[in-house]
Amino acid sequence: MDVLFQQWPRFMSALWLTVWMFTLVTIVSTLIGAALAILAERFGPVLGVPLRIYAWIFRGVPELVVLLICYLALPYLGLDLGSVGSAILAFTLIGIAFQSEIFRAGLASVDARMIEASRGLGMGWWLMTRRVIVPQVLRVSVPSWATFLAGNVKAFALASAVAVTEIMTVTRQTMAISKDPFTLILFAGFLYGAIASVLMVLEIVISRYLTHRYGPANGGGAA
Amino acid sequence: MALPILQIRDVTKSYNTLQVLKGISFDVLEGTVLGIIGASGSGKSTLLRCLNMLVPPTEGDILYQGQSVVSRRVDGRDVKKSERELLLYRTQVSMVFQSFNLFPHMTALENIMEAPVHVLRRPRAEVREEALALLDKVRLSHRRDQYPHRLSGGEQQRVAIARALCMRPRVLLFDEVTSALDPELKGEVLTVMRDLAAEGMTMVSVSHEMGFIRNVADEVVFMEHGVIAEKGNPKEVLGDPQTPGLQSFLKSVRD
Amino acid sequence: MNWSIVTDNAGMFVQATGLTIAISLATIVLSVVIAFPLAIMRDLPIAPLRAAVATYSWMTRAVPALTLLFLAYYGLPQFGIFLDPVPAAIAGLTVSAAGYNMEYIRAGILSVPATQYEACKALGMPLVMALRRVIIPQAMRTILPPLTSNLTLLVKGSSLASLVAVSELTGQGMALISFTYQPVPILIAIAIIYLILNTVVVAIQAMVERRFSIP
Repeated sequence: MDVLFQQWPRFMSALWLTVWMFTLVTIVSTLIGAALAILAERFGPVLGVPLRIYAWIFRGVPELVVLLICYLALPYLGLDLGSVGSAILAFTLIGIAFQSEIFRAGLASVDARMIEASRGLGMGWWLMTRRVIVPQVLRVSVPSWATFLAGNVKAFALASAVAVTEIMTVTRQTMAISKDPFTLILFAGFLYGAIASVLMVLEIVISRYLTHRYGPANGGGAA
Repeated sequence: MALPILQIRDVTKSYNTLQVLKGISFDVLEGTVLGIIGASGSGKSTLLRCLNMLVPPTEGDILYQGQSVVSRRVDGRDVKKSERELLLYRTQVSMVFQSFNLFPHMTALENIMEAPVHVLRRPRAEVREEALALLDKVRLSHRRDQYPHRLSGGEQQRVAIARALCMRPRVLLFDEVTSALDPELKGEVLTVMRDLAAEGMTMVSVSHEMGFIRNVADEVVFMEHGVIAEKGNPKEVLGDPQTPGLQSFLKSVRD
Repeated sequence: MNWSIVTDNAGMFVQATGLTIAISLATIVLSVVIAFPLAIMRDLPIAPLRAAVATYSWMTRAVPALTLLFLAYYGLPQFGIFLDPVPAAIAGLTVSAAGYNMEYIRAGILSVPATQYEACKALGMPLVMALRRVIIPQAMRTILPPLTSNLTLLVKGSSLASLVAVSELTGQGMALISFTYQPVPILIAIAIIYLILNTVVVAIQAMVERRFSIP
């Protein structure tokens, strides 16, 4: 256990690295994923089909393989981002794939009658999207979004496979000089678990608030 | 002289501080039809559920064929009956629900056969024959391989009645079985119930159908705020209500 | 692009894919088998049991699968339990997946309306029989979509085994890359194989859902 205290600073900087990588990836992938979903809705299959194919690929290939592609293959094609850069790119690409699917499902859940009513009231596309569709979509998508994020944090452990000095890497290096690998791994798990738990609690709180304020996701008026 | 098959003695039921039943006593004679009427909140559904112990009374006793179904004597003490002991009782006192409660993943025929085969462990071939006969009796032979979601409300309720009958119960309990049906579908269910009564089945029916009660029931009980306010022969009680409660209730139902 | 790297080593790819499939199947079966009793225990009227299962569920969903695999492979030897790479990987992946599966199964069981339990009681059915013949068959319609999606994730999850020295598809791929310095064709081939596996699983998923739906 004294090994742990000795290495504490390294664990903490690894934690920090994980947190800011995760935050960056989340923000970028959410914005791009949501935007792509909205645009696909607007411009139909021209954009929609390529987007679905992209999502199918990046949701179907294991995260580890995507990581390896960014880290090992891209340099061969001229793009060398280093370990942290590759990890961020890989998780962003995957994140965009999942987010676009989440928001696509959210958009699809908007009742066509709502759109009919909006257009009947003379609302233009942008106004309707902003004031009617987006709130509905958020109501349906936010729980899935939060759940995905909570699960996604854990994927960052894989970045250790491409030499990013995040928590898992530090753990492996420390294991080599420790007599108690079990506790060390448990501690690493606990660190991730803490971040993920915060997000899981956040998801529960958000879902409860939304249900309290706006009713159940698929219940309400239109039944 | 018909014997009482069910005897209810001073039954009360409370949920925390709310007392729903405040001391109910009456008999159900074998081969007769008892109607229970009252406004919502009067406790009539709770009372019915006490009869087959889906809801155990807080105090009081219920006797089936002279034996208590609420508790039994163990070394001089009264011990409440457990769920397992009650299962057998419920095969003899069957219930039909307002929302039919058919098993959605089984066909009409399978719904009827399920409990006799698996609970009573009767031979499958024999149960199938009886189930087909019951479907015929409720005039649904042509729907026997349909799943519930393809049946109308009236058809589902008739299957539910056949399901209860296949258990060969001594008593049938009906919980507002036509309330969830469109008006034109009520008739087919009430007809089945009338035929059952004519065959001598003991029935207790919570109902809003005054026509049915007046013509088919042998006795009617009017409940108000957890007590029996009036009791007696339907033609007399409904024709000449004594209490203001029943008078205004009948007026509201007529409108 | 030198595709001969892939074709020359086709046999090895096939073998590695076979191991990937084996690990995925084992994990799928075990994690579902464990999850059913856990889901039922989660709502039994025994408080310590409920708490234990709830804690298990939360922890396995909050902690990375990789950590669990490491625990199984690097941590257990401390207690005298020496697992080979493949069993360790399967153990870690199973424990991780069971937590999610349990939640989906539980949600499905809870979605069956109380009136169905009432109908079973009124017919004199004991609880275990009611669960087996009435409740769970109905629950399956709600359980299956998220459960089978989770199971497709397990195919991807099998790639983690490569990080505890298992020579499944990703592991073999990494070895071959370090040997030949040709990451591009190898990784593209690997990606395509995983996508094919995924498609097969999704097709099976659709078949299973159809089997449980009501005509």
